Amino acid sequence: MTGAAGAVLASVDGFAIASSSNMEDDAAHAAMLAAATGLARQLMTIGGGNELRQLVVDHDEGLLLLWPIGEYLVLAMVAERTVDQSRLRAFVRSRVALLTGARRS
Amino acid sequence: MTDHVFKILVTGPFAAGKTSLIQSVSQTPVVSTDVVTSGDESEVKDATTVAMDFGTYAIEDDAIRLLIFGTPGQPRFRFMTNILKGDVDIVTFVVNAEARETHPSAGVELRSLLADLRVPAVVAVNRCDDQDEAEKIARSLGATDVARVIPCQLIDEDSGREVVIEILTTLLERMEDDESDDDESDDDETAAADDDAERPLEAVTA
Repeated sequence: MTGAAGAVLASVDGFAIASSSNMEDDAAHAAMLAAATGLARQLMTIGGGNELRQLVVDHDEGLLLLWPIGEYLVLAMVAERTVDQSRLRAFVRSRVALLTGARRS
Repeated sequence: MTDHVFKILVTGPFAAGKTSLIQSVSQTPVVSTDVVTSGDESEVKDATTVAMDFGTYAIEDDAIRLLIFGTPGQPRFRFMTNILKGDVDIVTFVVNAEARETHPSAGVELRSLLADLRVPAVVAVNRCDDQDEAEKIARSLGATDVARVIPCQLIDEDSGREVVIEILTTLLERMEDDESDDDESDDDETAAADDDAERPLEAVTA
């Protein structure tokens, strides 16, 4: 997909499950994704939220988008700022069943 | 009105009892980032902290308030400890007396933390009822400037509160030491050059 530069799939407790070949293999990345998602779940209570859908890290070089995938996984994508976020999100949602099914089988 | 606010770092190895301590003493709902464990860790316990725990404890009509920050225990989350350790007033290091295999790396972590932070430390030896045994374990961690060693059973809320009382006592002693140092320097500015005017080191448990 245009503008998507790489992806990391991690467990919610901070272990790397898979990543695209162009991503740096750094164990700390999976731990940071888990920590950020854990904190985001708490942060959403400030706005009265109950379900975390997406976490966006917007920085000078682009975007890091995080999505909880089921109860056990977190998917992160590195993307250019010009990426079509709604299309990317729809694409990820369409693959959620596949990812969660693979995790639980 | 709050006169004194202290930041407390609760850290230590995986499954030592850090979250249990904060949950048992906090007077406000604990901010918790527990998630389900996977792999080998799921054989030890069902849930683990991935970012932080946060709780509070106040005494004397809120004149003294403790802000309690708990870290994850696994080395892969060390970056969270680095974030949370800023400006702490005291370190509470929790170890599980029964998990002997965690003690060597816990000692390395505790010594490194204290060399870096230069604040008092309290060691809470969880799943231990004996003071001598707790002090023996604390000595094995190799930290020489630990203010207090507390045997505790953090599954029990009363035991957690005893740990907090020891933390408070250590903080208040440190405040008194600081104030007496200030008085001495006010009385005689040359006293600062005198060996006797040096601030006493934390009691060594050895």
